[in-house]
Amino acid sequence: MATTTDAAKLERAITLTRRFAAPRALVFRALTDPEHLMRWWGPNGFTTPECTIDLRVGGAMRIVMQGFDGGRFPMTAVIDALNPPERLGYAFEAYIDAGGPAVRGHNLIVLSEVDGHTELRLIARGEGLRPEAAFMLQGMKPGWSQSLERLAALFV
Amino acid sequence: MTPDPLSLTLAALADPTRRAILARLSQGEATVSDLAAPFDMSLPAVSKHLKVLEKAGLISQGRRAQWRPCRLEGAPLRELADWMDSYRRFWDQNLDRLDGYLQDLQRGNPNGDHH
Repeated sequence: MATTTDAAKLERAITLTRRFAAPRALVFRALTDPEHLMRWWGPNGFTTPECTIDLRVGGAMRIVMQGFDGGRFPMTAVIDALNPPERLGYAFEAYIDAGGPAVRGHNLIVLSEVDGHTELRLIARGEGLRPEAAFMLQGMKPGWSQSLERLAALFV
Repeated sequence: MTPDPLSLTLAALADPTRRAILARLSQGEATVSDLAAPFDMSLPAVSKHLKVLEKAGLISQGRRAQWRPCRLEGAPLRELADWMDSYRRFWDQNLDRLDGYLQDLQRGNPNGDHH
């Protein structure tokens, strides 16, 4: 039986590491400059028609992804760690269309120079979904209900 | 074609009455009349909603007890809630695209389309 107590235990963390053949400053810029970010952000099949980033501690970020069927997935965030070109941290809320926040969490991105490459480490934790957050999936269009994979889009 | 379980779940959640029923059940078991009380709705109409929720596996209804209390079932909601795998996949794809973008950028082709 799903109770709010069960749901409260859903907070989890993931760590991802990836190496890029690019200078650290460039990787950092691609992650923090909207002009760059809008050209690559999002999983396959998504575009990012809106992005604003006030790059300072306490500054706001807003990234809106759009799916192939026009569904919009806004994320708002507040930057709480910033040390270019090494570190970016932000607390985020992800939304589904006009619904309330479905997921809250925190992303910390750390870039280090390793063997002439740039290593990106992402430490992400999230609180969600609460049962009431699942109800917000009402905003999902039929095309979105086809696969769990598409749910990834919610969790920017 | 039989809809996949996730589609069933989402379809079941796509109705405000059914969401209200689930919200009520998140506080504990309830009978059909309990569930009907807040709505201006006949018992058969509420039962119809309960059938949709039951088919989606979101609730179960007691078979033996006299009042056949309804209760929330965790698994489908957990499936929705088990989002970290999805989140990891999101970032995997996201970083693939970042990688492609960085390569294009360094080749002097910043307009390469990665969408």
